[in-house]
Amino acid sequence: MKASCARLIMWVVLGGLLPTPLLAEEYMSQDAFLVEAFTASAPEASRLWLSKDQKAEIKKLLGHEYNGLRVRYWKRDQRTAWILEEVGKEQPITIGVSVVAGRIERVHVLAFRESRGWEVRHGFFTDQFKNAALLPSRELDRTIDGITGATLSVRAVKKVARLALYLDSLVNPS
Amino acid sequence: MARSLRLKRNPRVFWLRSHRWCGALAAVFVVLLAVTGILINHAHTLGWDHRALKSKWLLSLYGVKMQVPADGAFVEGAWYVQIADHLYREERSVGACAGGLSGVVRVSPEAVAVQCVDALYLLTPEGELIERLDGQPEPMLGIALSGERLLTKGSSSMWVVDMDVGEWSAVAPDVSITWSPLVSIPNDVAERWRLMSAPADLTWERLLLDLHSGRLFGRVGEVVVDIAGLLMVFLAATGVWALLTRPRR
Repeated sequence: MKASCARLIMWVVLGGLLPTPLLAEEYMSQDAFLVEAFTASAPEASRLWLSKDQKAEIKKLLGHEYNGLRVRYWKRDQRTAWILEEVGKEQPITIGVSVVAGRIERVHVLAFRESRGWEVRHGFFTDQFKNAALLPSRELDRTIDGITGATLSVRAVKKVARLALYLDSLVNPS
Repeated sequence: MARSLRLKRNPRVFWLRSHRWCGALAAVFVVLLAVTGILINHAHTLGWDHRALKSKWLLSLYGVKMQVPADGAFVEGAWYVQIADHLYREERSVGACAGGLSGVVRVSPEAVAVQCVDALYLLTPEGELIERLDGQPEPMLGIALSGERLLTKGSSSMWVVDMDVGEWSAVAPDVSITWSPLVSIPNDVAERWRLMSAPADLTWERLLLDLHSGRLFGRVGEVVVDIAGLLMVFLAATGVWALLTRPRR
């Protein structure tokens, strides 16, 4: 009896020590992000059609063309929410950003599809963006500390944060 | 007998002859390795590090079979096809399209809706991407325009799509709906996509590296290049030895 209990405990402990294979996964659904961003039910989605000049600005921000002529967003009063994608190394990362009065309220990595760099989803990284604003130079008004081994993912999240702030300035000109 | 005696008394003759024969044997490999080595050094300047292989024969060495789409949709003078999980409008890649192409409809003078199994694309009639609509409730197997309503169908449900807000609403199935068909692509048309299905990471630089190392011909090729390398070491050793031991006049 004692021996079988000991064996059972051993297997449970060993099982817990086995490394979990890292798979591309969704950390938060888009609906859940919107509920969190707007506290209650999310407003109806709106569409922002991008002009040629705006696309040129976005190209400077992202370092590449923005793929699309319009962007979906949610807005209530001065708060906007954006769900955007940017490629880390090879696969797109889906990122939710909510902006209030021109400053980032929250950044959430909603889905991550690569095998490395997933550390960017943690609060210790995304919390750095809270209250960040966009300078006239289109840079963030603060330094964001990177994560060793996740350089490209960090870069992608920073780009999306800047893009969300820029897009927010288009729908909230004040 | 006399010859072997001569070689025994004069090892220098033996090694010089060996040097000559090995040199002749290694000559082809020396030229091959030198040429491929120089080209590899300049592959970036030549642009070969990102120029993909397109030759059917060269790709067959890597076991790559080029795909040709069997069917697609022809709408407003343009072909829409899915190749290797990518959506193409004519020869231009639009985006990821996993699971297959389900159909294409022109929804308005300003927009064409392209339904992949996993996502709905809105394009301008000229092919510029307006938006990729995510969040569809299930894999979609068909698309149709009924009046002003854009309809899509899953395995058991039918949906009307509000393209402005990107929302799908379930509607009662309607058997009278004519879903956008996929048609067979003529062979001469399909050929233009054959080259596009070649993997982008199989470049000319990759080919040179594999030729240089012998890997292009598998394990046998690697062993042959190893032997060529050893021959060159032998040539260098015997050549230096012959130079150092050359009889002084």
